[in-house]
Amino acid sequence: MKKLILLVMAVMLFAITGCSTLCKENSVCGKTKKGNALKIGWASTDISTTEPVLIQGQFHARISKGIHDPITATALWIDNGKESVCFVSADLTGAGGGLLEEITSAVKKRNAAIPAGSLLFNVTHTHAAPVISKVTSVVPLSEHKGNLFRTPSSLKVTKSAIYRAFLTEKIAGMICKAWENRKEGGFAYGYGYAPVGYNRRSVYKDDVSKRKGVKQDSLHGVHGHAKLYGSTQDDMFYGFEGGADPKVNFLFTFDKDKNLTGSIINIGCPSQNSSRLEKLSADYWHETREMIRKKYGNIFILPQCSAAGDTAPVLLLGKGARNRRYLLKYGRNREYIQDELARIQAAEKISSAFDEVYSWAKNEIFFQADVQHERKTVELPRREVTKADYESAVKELEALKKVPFMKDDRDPAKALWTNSRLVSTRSRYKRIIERYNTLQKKIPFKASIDVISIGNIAFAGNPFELYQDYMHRIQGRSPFIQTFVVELAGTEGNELCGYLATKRSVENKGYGSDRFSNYVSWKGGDKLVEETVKTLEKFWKNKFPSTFPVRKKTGEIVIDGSLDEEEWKKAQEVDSFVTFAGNAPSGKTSVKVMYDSDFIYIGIMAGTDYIKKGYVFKEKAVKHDGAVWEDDGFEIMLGEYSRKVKAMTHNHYVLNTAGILYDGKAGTKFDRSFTSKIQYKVKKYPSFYVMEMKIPASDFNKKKFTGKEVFKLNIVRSCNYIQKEIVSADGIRNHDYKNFRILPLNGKMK
Amino acid sequence: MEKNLLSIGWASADISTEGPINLPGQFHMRISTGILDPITATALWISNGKDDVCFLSIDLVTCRGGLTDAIKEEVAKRNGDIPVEKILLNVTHTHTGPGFHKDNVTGADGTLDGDVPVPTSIEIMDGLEYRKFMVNKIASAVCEAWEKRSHGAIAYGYGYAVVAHSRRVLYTDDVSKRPGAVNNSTHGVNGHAVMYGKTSDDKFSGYEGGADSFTNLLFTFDEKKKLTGVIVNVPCPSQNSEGIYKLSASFWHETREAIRKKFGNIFILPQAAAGGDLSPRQLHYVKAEYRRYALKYGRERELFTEEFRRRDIAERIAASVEEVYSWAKKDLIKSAPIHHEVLDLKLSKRLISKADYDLSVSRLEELNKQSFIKEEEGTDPQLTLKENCKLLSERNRCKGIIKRWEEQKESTKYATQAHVLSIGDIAFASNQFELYIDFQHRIQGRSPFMQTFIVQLAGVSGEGGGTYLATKRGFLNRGYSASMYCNLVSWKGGNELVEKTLKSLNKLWIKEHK
Repeated sequence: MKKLILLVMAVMLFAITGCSTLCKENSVCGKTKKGNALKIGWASTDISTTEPVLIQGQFHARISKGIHDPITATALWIDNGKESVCFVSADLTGAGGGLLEEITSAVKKRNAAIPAGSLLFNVTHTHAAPVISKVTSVVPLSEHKGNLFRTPSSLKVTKSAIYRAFLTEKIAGMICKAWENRKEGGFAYGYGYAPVGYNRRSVYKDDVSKRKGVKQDSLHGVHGHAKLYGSTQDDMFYGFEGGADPKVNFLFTFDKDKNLTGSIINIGCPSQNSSRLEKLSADYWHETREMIRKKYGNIFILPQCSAAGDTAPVLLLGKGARNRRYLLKYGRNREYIQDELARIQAAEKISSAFDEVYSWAKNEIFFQADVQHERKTVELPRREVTKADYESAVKELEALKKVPFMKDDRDPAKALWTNSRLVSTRSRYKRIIERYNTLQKKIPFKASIDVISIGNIAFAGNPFELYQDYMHRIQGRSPFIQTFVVELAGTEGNELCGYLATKRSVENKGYGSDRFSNYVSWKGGDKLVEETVKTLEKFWKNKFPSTFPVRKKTGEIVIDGSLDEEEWKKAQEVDSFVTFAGNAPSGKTSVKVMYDSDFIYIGIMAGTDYIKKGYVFKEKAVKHDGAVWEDDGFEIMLGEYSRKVKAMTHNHYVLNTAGILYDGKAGTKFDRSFTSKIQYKVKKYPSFYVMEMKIPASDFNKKKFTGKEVFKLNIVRSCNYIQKEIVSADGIRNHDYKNFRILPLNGKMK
Repeated sequence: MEKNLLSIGWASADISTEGPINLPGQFHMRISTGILDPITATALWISNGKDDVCFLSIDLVTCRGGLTDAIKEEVAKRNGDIPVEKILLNVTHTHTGPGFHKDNVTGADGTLDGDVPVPTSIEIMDGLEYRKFMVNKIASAVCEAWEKRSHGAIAYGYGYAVVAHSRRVLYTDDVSKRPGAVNNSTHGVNGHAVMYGKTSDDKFSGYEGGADSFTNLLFTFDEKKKLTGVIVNVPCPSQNSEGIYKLSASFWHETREAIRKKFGNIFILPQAAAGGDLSPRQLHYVKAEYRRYALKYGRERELFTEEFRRRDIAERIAASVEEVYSWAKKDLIKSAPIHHEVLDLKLSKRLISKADYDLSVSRLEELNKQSFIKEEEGTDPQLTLKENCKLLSERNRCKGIIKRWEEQKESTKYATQAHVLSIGDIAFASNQFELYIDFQHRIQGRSPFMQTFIVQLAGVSGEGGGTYLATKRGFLNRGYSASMYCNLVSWKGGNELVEKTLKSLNKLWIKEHK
């Protein structure tokens, strides 16, 4: 015990001295650079202890008997001089109970200059890490006020509060060190596949809780049509409730010389193979780190668990085939080492995905990027606890209170197991009672979530064991190229978060979707998605100007395929054309917009080296309203915008380089019958072509433009002569009108 | 002499044609303009002197219209000793394989006999002519493989390759009730689910089910333990490039190339395991996917995204074959019991309600009033053909419902066949459907065998073949592939298929292990 206390003091001392150096340096380096040049800083720390600590993850207490493999914490700062974020990952089971705030405060204490509120802290959910309870007593996972018990006197165990203090100081010190380590660098990103997780919710044709011998309303009676880790050999087995997303998101970091320095690995699976181990372990992340480092040297690896409330690295189908696979592949198949083999297998999959993604992602390293971070507190609907649930809990608790603790004289290990389970079970009912009372008082559930964007990728952190459907909703609706969802992230406040199940899973019931496991309802899950998507959309919009510059035309112009007139010269150019994936176009593309009372004028310059390269424009459409969009040319989507109307119908003009026009209406459906009164001219030059056009007010059922009109505009270029390259202003897809830029004629919104 | 000694024979045939042939797979005809890559048929006989199996895989979309019978008849004609009933034929579901129907008219859910081809100026190769060519080539391959049987060994194992993704997108609302929703037989089938639905929709709530990343592999070896071929069983239809106008085996082409690059010119026999609700396309992360290909393959051509998907998939399957081979080869099986039975099944039909029947009658009347559009000078005749085929397909779908209404008065059971066979500790179970993956998991979860290879879109005797077999939740969520047009058999029939398959698997297991 003394050893650990001394270690905590040593860490604190180092941190304080380390910080004073850091503060000095920071005052020198603190001047922010102009632009978005990135600085990247890494640090890592071993958070293992040889002290006998309680291990978290089961209903019963386990006391560690040493270290199987080191459990670590890793920090990565990404700083562009204007905004900085720090990703912190720790090999722990949970991150709740105010740990984030304690770490933040410890960092602030060491160095007030560090933006300590910019942490996205997550745990990997290893089930072989110490309990980090704040209560200064020896209690297992499900400790609860007034429901404590001493471990058998013959078993030596370190208080979890002491470990927590050690952990907090270690992590805070590491964050400061990573801050200090920031240097010029860049990042790359991509995704690949590593099928590590499996869906762990087996569904049955019947309600298994109604089968013979099942005790209703007990902890096991939570099953319905679904069962966590349910047998697939059951005659009533009906399939899995959902899938298991095999995608793995990577963010790689590089120093200024493009040497790989580290990686965030974001995967939809908790690291809980060794969930019965009585030693500390990082689970499959240990083997994964080893395998990757064998190939890439001693780089930093920061694991994140994306949504995985309903997945686990545990195979439920074909266990016989799996045992045979292990035997033939690894030469071993003894049951007790299967978890270890599963870890090696997971590591092989992740490491091979790393190789594959790294091989191409490194082709695009970003040394500059905009960085945005928002932590917001969201109020989410609590999961209901009915009067019947409450009454049942009161009854069950009364009965459990009468069950005596086992005396530890003869078999302390058994006593530990039995008594800790009794405590856990009592605690679960106590929490039901407490939650019922909270619901009566209408106290809202509050938790903080973090949303971060770095260039074209985003991170969305939440404190739950989140079901994957929620992740898909966030990712499906996110405007970012990749969105790393991070579950089990540290949150502000002391709310217990637990599993966040979907509507269908709550209906199917089963552990993970039962009243004991869910503190927030599926409606809360829906709200979490909406709140996250809202911020992601806001961040995406922040990246681009929301309005299209438009100039009121005062002089004369001729629609002749030349933009040489003074009027055009005075108009502001928009040249933010990129592919839908955010890459620069082959030829520079720019647009200018003007208006007067009769027309909206659009002038397009499309850079091209077609003559130099001997290409011929694709101009297959030869008559009006033909398939012009398959040719070289532009599509213009222009419609009047109103905040009140959700679905916007817009005019759709498609013009190829031969001057053939398609005109129609688009929005919820395509209407080809519309015929525009547009006037235009297309003219080709050696290194570019020009499209000059004027669109009359009559195309919008107006006699004149008053200048108060607000439109939405998107312009898309198709380069089909070399390859099918499509670029658009801001990379917005053709008819994705929600994201079109606003075009207020007088520069103001209504 | 050792009991149950295995003899193994392989053969393959190129069944591509340069002729302008219809490429079934969409609601409209596409007339091929050449060959993007060869489409093939591959046969593998495994015998042990007591029982046999011939795995026969063809790069086609379906094997309807009596094709299975025709191949068997042709094989029997060539060699009366061959046990043709042991042929387990499957198609890979490429949407760019040639049509082989007599009238060249196709709709995704069935060509009805007697339909008149749509008017077109495009020269189209006679489907029956192609069918004759193909049947001859395939029958030759089956006979050749039979003749070539020699002592060898098998090895097996499973691995991982992410190929398929769920294609059934769920919404919190019933999309058929949204303003502007079109109530026709194509779009009107949607409910809470939409096949290939948009994931950027505000009401997107997730995918109906998951995909399955397992690959089941059976390797064969000659007497000198040299690898000769492999069955690659992947739960995913090979339907990338499904809209192109050239013949192609889809991702199996690149997969064969990638595997052969590593292992030499071995035989590769692809099987689609259950994949009715899956496809080789991810529906969210599309921007990330384009970027992936741009950085990985050096180009960004949206038009060729499918080409890149094929390459990407091929890499993963080939890596999986390599990984499994590295350890599965340690357990070479030279002798094994084979038990092979063909089940004649009667499954509960998906019944047509009176309301659906009435709707189809009135809709057909409306559709019959519409006439085919004429080709105009300067327009692509393939586009005119496409429009006219859509009309024809719509009519056919209504006719199909009317026909089924009449037929169900006679019987509410749908007759089909399933092969169930075991080779030592592994089993194969086939069905004619585009089977939802839940059914596969049920069979595999409860099968007593070490590995159970599910083979969907397997050939059956008679005119039928193909058609989706949706689960109860699929049925409730609706959407294409779970609609009345798509399901000849109900989800209850799916349950029956599972139970009957398992009964047979258990029987075979007991037979061997009693």
